[in-house]
Amino acid sequence: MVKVRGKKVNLTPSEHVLKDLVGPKGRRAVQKIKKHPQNHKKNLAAAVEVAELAKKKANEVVLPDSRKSDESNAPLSKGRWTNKQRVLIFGSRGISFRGRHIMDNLRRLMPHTKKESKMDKRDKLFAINEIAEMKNCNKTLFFEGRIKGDIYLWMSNIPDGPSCKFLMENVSTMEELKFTGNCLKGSRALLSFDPTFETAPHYQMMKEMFMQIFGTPYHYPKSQPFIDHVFTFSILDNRVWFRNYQIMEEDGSLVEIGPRFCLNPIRIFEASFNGKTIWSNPHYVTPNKYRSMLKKANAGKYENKLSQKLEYENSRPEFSYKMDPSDEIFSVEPQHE
Amino acid sequence: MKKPEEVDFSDSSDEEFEVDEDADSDEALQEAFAAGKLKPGLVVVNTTGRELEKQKPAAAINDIPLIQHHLEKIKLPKKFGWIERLDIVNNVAPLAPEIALQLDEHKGKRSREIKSINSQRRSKGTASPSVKSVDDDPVHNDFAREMGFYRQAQEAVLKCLPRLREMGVPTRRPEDYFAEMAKSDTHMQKVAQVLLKKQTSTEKAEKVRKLREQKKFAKQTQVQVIQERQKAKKDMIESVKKYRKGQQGGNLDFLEEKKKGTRDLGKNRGGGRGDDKKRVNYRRQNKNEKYGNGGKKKGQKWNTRDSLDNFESGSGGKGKGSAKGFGRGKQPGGNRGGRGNPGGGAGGGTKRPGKNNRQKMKARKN
Repeated sequence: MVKVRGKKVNLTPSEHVLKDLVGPKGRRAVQKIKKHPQNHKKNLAAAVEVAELAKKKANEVVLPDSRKSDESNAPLSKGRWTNKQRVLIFGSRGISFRGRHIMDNLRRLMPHTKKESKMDKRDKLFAINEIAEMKNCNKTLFFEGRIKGDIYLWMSNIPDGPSCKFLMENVSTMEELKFTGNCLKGSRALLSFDPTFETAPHYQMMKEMFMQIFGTPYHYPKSQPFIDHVFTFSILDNRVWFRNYQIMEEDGSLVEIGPRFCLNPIRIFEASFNGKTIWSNPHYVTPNKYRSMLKKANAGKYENKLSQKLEYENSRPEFSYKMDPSDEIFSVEPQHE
Repeated sequence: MKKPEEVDFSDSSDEEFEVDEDADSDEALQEAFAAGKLKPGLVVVNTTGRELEKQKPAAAINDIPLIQHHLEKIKLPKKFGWIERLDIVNNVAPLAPEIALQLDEHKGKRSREIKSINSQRRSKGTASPSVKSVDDDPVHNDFAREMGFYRQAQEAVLKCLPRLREMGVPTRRPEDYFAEMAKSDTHMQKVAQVLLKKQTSTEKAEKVRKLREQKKFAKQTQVQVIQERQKAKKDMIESVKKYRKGQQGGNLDFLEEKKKGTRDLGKNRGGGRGDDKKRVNYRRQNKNEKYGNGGKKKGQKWNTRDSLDNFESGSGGKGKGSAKGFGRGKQPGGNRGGRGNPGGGAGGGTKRPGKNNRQKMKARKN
């Protein structure tokens, strides 16, 4: 317990250390002298002043000029940013609102991304390579919007591949209120992968690409020094499922931040947005085909009804009973006048 | 009829008799024969090339060496180390008890819901139930799947955080570190509102459920009490009968016992009804004060001998004098019933002697 500006304050051990910096022997005073050797006399006087002040308030702790949080900012500038990954995130024209939102979410979560205005649909996809190079990016996430709100996600290494095409399914954006977590903007994320990613070469390839695109480089200028969220990639049902969780406690309690999506891999190409296909998904069904299948399944219902009706008409007996016509001999019909 | 083995397919120049290369072997031909594909012409009947292409699904490409080659090419250099990548390949964390509980709760809730939905459908007779059990319920399966992802993330956190701590990378941000968050404050307020709403609604539901259960319980206890009372009554009647027949030897103890029994019962119920003290019904009391306590009203205004004889205080004549004190001696304060003291209200007449005096007078008369 120490008195600070008249208030009693409990100090943490680190703050106890900080208080030593303020005294005449403190680092700060020394630094000042070092900085301006020509103003030696002036600084000496300042140092003496500081010493007197310290004597006066022997019992009190003078709070340092900088806050604790400022200190923790320091290592950010100290480290060297060596892993120069930059990701260009953009989409094609005609992308649905959902696609646009998810693009924004990803940009917000990953500080090492860049923006670009939407690309015209008439341009060849190969032009993306040039766009990315002009933006100094060596990775791309390209959201291709198609009819009926389908979103295709292209993941590519610029300039010479490989690239990977996914169908994006089950998208939930970060804005949805069911996601209650929050994290720092631009903090780095842990990347957790399912063990299935190690089994097949194409999964290994996908893992490597996810890692390089979704992982923020250490000491990236715009990034925060704390690691407070996890991206999980799991494989289920031949798809890659993406989730983002906030780390609440060290004991592993998490809260989901969003966004959520599911990537159905279609093909892996040898080069970036062109080249030979080196892997294709045998389980992939295009969304149009899927929809038509659903329609057909529903159409069967009506046809079934019709055929049942027809069958009934055909098999309906003409007489409900076998009757002896002689029974009706004595039945008398009322005579009308 | 020729046997299939005797046919020389390689010599056949006719296009109709095209046969697959692998269909040449004897085994293949035997198989084809068994399957009924060998027709009298003794050739394996093949669909035409176009039809075949239509049927054949697009062949899946999986060029493993090429994939591996490209993978090696794009891998991050080793010098960066784990701190650059922050990746981990991990299984799901062991099922924590609270998660298991959540899963169980969700399963129970869903199975109840499915039951109710199915019973409704059955009663309406509209359609057969789409979901029969919890195991093929998409909602529950979704929940279970999300739990799987959650556990995977949990395991990753549990494995990575100690590693990061060793490396001196901060994972907790201090409370006084303010920076822009991924979601804005206004958004988080909305989230908080939704959470609050959810909480209150669940609390409400819980309350209602508790009340319902209490009601059920209250009914049970009531039934029990009634049964006990009936039993006590029966016992009482029986013992009275025995007493009459003189079987109990003129012992009236059972009456005392009965009293005790009722008192205990009252205590058990928690009400004060069985107590010795009579409960005061204040409402009744007030009404009695206001309206009288019921009883005989007829003839209250009739003259009595006393009122007839009493000429002093009464008017006697028509409309002359005050009617006060004549007839009913109704006084404020509820001197109810019976005959009033005629003339008492007018302040005339003698005052009634006190209780002691009256008793003395009584004694003297005797």
